[in-house]
Formats: sequence, structure tokens, C-alpha cells
Amino acid sequence: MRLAQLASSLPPRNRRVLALTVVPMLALASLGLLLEPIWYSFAAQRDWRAEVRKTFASAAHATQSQTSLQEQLGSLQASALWTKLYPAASDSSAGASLQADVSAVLRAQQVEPQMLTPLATSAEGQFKKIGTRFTCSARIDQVQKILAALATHSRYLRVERLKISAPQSQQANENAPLAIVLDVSGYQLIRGAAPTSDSISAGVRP
Amino acid sequence: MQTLNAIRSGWARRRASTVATELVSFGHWWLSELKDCAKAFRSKLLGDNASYVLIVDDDQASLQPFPIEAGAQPLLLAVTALPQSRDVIAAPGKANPHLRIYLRGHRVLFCAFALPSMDERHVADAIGLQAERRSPIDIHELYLGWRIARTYEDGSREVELAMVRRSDVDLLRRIASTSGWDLKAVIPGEPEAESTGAPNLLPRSSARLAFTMGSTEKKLLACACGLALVWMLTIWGQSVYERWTLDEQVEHAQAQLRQIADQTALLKKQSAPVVALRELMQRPDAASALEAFSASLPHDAWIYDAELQTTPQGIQIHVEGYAKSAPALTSALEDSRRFTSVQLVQASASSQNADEQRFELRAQLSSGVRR
Repeated sequence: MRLAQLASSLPPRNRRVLALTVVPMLALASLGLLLEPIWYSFAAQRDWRAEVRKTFASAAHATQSQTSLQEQLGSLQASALWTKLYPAASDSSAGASLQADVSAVLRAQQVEPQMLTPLATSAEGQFKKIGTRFTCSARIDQVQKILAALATHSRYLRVERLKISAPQSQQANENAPLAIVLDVSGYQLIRGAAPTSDSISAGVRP
Repeated sequence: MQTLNAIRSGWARRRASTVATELVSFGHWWLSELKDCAKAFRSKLLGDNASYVLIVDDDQASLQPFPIEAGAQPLLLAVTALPQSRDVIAAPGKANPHLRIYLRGHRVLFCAFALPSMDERHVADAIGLQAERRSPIDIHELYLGWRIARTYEDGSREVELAMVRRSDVDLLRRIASTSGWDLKAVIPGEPEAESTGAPNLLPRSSARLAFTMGSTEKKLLACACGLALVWMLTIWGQSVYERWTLDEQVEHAQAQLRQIADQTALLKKQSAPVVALRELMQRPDAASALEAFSASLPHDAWIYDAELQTTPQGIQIHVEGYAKSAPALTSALEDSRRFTSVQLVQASASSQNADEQRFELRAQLSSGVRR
């Protein structure tokens, strides 16, 4: 009874404040304290069920997915595109290989390179670009065949710059020799980006 | 030890009882305080209700303010004029004035009788039986009001019973309601009789209900709490059981999904160079630009100097040569839509052929997909 008596003995204004604000707020807070843990456990269980449902739905196709991923990793390792790049041994050896490849293409068309100038090596994304400038003299049909051979080469050879100069005076039916400057680039994978059989087998856990 | 437990248990019971009493009394205080607040608010908003007393005799009624002042002249009305009664008084507040009706004369049948000693619970039924026995009218057509006038030492009671036709009371209720009165009570007898505990004949539905926490209510509350507890325990048990039974399967499935995620990440990482190389191979180079430029040249044009160079924006082309019309050549290149920024740098008459123009132009092959 002491609590009720104490409340009754308050001044009217305080009594009203107590009755209209403090008591309802205390009642709501008590109710919240009681309901919050219950609601929390409900929500946690509901979330757990949703997560489990999602996990089981995804795991239903896990075996097929793993097989498919394994196949993709295998086909990636065996991809012919890797052979388009020069091996990541050293810049000088890749540059020499590039010069040899392009020189072989030129010589296949009876064109002898007059001058070879190595270009500065630069990084392009995950690749290292190795370039060489070839200066030579060739007729237009030879140029056409050289460009076609470069496009279909087993390595990816990109013509970065092409300068062709013809004599200004020539006969109508003459196939005059042209001065050719050809900047060709090859690509080498930056060390660490290449796939290894170890990493592929480590990724496959049947 | 048993004594100690008994003392502890008794102390706990007393303490629980004290807390419950405190809470109940505080709850009562709070409710009564809320009621007072509501009354004060209503009074402030609508003004105080005026109260009136209507004393209905056989064919005449008298209306006067309540409490009745000695010597005040009541307003006399015919019973048939009751519907207009609200109009003849001044309404000091916005709310409907209260009205208490006292029924006298032949409209009320009074009787008194004694009841033998009996349990309190059976008193109402016993009075109903007495009323049925004593009433000349069917009991279902009557409203009954009674009071215990006296209780003797041997437990017997003296009862005063009032019976009024339901049709009379219902008519008065209807009239009061449609005339804008707030009917508070219909009491058989004189106004002075109310202080002695005269009954209110208004049907119980319009009377204020009181709620007391008896043993039945306590049992019901305990049952409800027990049911809630059982329900919560069931839900909790279900969640524990679900987690316990599914834990291993969930872990296995999550391990599989983690493996798939690892493989996917590895595949994405290792395929990135291949994707980049494919994109690089699809970008045009100087050789493909020369091929595209040659295809776009008119048959009557030929070039003697060409320089094509790849840049991040595309392939920059610079050519010099001869054509029938240098502006027409420029238009043809622009119309092909493969070249942008086509710019005729210089055009002059050819020194070798009067029908030809020597030209120098720049253009750019957009870095789209290789043809």
C-alpha cells in the first residue's frame, strides 16, 4: 500500500504526470524487456531456417557444380590461347623469340629485314608487351602476305605501327618496292598470373 | 533443515503476497487517477454536465434541476410532452445533461416479503421466484428492482421489491435518448428513496460493470500463463531439436558450398588473363586498319605514303596519295562510319595528271571489335 499512498500524496500536477506518462512508459518498457528476448529468439530461429533452406537448395546441385567447375578449370589449363603468349622466362629471350618469329615470316616472303630495333618493354594489364621495329623493303603483294601471316601466327603478334612509303613516280603497271617500317608486339604473361597444375588441382576437391 | 525451508518458503510467500498487494493497490490508484484525468479533461473540453430529475406520475411529470432545492418550483409537463422536455431547459455545457427518472403512482408495483436464511448466491433467484409468484403480469414483461431492507440475526432477510413494466421503462429510455438526455437511472419511488439504496431499473447492459479478481479469475490467469509457458517451451524445444538434428547436414552442405566458392574464385582468377587476351585480340591493330582503309578507298584513288599507329583511343591514320576528288574521298570515308575525325589536311592539283588531286588526310579507326 505504501507505493499507492506515496503516489496519492503527491501534488495533483505531479500525480497526473506520473499517471499519464511515467507509469505507461514504465509499463511499456517492462513489456519490451519481457518481449524483446522472446522476439529475438523467434527472429533468430526464422533467419536460421531461411539460411538452412537456402543452403540446402544450393547444395542440392553441389556435385554437378563441382564437376562442371573442374571441367572448366581443365579446359582453361588446356586452352590454346596460352600458346599465343611467349613463355615468361625472361624479357631478352622473349624479345629474341619475337624477332625470330617475325623474321621468319618476312623471309618466308623473300623479304630480308634491313634493320631490327627492339622497342621498350611495357606492362599492359596482366601482360608484358615486347616489341621490335622491323625496317625492310617489300612489294605490296608481299606486304599483304606478311600481314596475313602475322595475323595467323601461332603467337599473338600485334602490328602496333605500320608505315608504308612508295616512290611517287612509277609506271601504271609497275609493282614498285615499298619502304616498310613495321612495329610488331608480342605478349608475355607477367609472372604469377599463369595457371599452374598445382593450383588447379588444389581448387578441385571432389 | 526442514524448519529452515519452511521459514524460507513462508517468507517468500509473504513477500510475494506483499508485492502483489502493492501492485494491485498501485494499479487501483493509477486507474482512478486516469479516470480523474479523463473527467477533468472532459470537463475542460465540454463543460460540466447539468443534472436533472424527472419525477413521473401516472399522467404528469415534473422536471427540476438536481440536487433538488427546497422551495424550487418544478417544471410540470404532461407525459405525452416528454419528447419536448429537452428543449425547455437551458444547456450550460456542450454535453448532454444527465437525467434521473423517478417513477411513482400506478406505474410501479411495490411489495415486501421476508426471505429465510440462505446463501448470498441464491438470494437473487429466490427473489425472482417470489416476484413471479406475486406479480399479476408475466414476469418477463417486467423489470425488477429490489433491495434488502433489513437482515435479521437468524440470517433471514426483509426484501422490498419494485416491479415496473418493461414497455414503460423502455419508452422512457427511448424518449430520453432521442431528446438528447443522458439517462443515468430509472428508480422506482421518491427521490429521497435513492439514498436508502433504491434499485436502478435500467437494464444491466447499460450499467457499469465492475471487475474483481476472484479465485476463478486467478485460476484462469494462472491457466493462461501456464499455456503461454507451455507454448513457449514447445517453440523453444522445436528450435533446439531442429538445430540438433540438422546441424551435421548443414555443416556438410556449407562445406560443399565453400568448396564451390573457392573453385569459382580460382576459375575467375585464372581465366582473367585468357579473357584479357581475347579482348586484346579483338581490338583492331595497324594491319586491320590498313585493310579497312583500303576497302574504303574509291577505285580511282591510290596512296603512296601511309602511316598507321595504334593509340589508346584507336588507330591513327595518316595517308598521302592521289584521287579524282579529295573532298569526295573524305566524304566517302566519313560515310563508311568506320572512321572518325576524318580531316583533309591538304589537297592540291597533281603535277603529273590534271584530272587528279594530290591529297593528305588524317583519320582515326575507332577501337571497336576487329572486323
